[in-house]
Amino acid sequence: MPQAQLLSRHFDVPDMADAMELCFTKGWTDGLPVVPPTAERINAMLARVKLAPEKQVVFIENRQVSVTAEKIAINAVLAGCKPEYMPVVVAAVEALGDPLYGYHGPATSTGGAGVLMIVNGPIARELDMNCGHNLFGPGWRANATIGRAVRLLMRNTLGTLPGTLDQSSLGHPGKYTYCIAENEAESPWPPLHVDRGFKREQSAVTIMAALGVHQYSNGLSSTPEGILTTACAQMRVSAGTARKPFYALVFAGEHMAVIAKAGWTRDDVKRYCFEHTKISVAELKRANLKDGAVTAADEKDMVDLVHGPNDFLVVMAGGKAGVQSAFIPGWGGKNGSQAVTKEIKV
Amino acid sequence: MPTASIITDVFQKTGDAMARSWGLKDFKFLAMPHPIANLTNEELDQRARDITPQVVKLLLEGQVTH
Amino acid sequence: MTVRIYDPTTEARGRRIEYAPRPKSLAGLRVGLVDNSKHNSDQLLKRIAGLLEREHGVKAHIMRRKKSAGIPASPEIIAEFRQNCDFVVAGVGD
Repeated sequence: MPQAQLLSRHFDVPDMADAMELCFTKGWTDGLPVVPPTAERINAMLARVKLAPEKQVVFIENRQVSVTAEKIAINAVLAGCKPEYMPVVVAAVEALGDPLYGYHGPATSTGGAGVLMIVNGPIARELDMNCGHNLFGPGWRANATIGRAVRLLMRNTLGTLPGTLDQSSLGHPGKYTYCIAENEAESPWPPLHVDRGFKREQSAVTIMAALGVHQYSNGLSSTPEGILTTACAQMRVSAGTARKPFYALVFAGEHMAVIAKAGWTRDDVKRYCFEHTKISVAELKRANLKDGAVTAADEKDMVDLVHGPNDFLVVMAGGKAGVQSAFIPGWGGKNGSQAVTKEIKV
Repeated sequence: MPTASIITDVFQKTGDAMARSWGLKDFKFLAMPHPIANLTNEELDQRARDITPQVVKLLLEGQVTH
Repeated sequence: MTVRIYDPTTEARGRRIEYAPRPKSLAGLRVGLVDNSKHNSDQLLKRIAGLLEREHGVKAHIMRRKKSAGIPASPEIIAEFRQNCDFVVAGVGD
């Protein structure tokens, strides 16, 4: 296939080692080494998705940046992606530019969100994406590099850099990479993307502006209610100042088995969590999460954690053994950012 | 119409970077000390008194100095 | 052998915009205030509006709150201000 004409500025250096160093000195890395983006590697990415370099994939309104296929390809190479990962990266970048995701808030806020990415469909198996042990940890090239490509694009192409357009106070490690697949094979439920309106045979990626992973343990309960009570107890006070973001709930290990055995549907889980994460205005005020003196009426005035049960993104994933599951609070509130699912075009 | 945008000082670089992305690299903001979320009523009064003359000046003078 | 690598960053375009003409004074004018919904933004903006009215002759004020700090003012807010205000104060980006 003829090599496409690349439009980005370029730099010439004596060898690959120098090229790796140049990427560091130019500030193009996340602090870890990157793969130097040569024309050959960039073109391999573009060929995989059959996009011309200048093709605009998405326009990020609040940054006034046209994100081209070429820029996505460059960042995917930097991240260490294989060309077959490129369709997932492209879909995730499309999702970043969706007005419902509201790029600016989660990227710039002191609240410091990462971009949680949940991949569904046949492509997750084809790319050997991890949906099991060490779910959020290192070791799988696809998980590691696909998430990393998105963050590198945010930094490099969208200028989302600490101190200027990324004012995260603390950030979290998910800002290196935050990409998982759902354990569709062993989950009793339809895949998440089907829940969100796609067909099973499609592949899709769901992104959510997300804070860190809150792991909780429960080795005592043998019912879904028992496990979810523990989750809800911790979730109840976990929303940030804007309140009512999305939440991701990840059920792993023995919790997966308990919920499946009891025949609970995903909706059962969402409804239970919606009901049991309500908190009183009094408790919010006592914890200094809400302004004002506590009144008697406040004890009975209940506030929902999320706008509705469908703002919980619920998946089964993680190792088989273990009594840990996790919840992940979203950033901000629903008006500021929503989870978005995009088809991965293969 | 004429506008004046107020930020807190820790966001000066963010405001400048946003202005640059919109192609307006010299856009002027008014900055006040950070934070404001935990100020008392008296402190809020003082902050308003401090910034209002700057608001008036920016509105009357505008973004472009000749 | 040289290695050529490509730049992942973008350059911002400069642009010229026509700024609205500035009034000679604020006396008799109406101000629109955009509250970005962060805690105490409304408190500050209210006080600024008060000072503008009492000390700078501003005639009236309306304040509208954004749904979320990170998104722009809605088209409805902009339309209302266009109709009913002569200048806007927005804040507080914190």
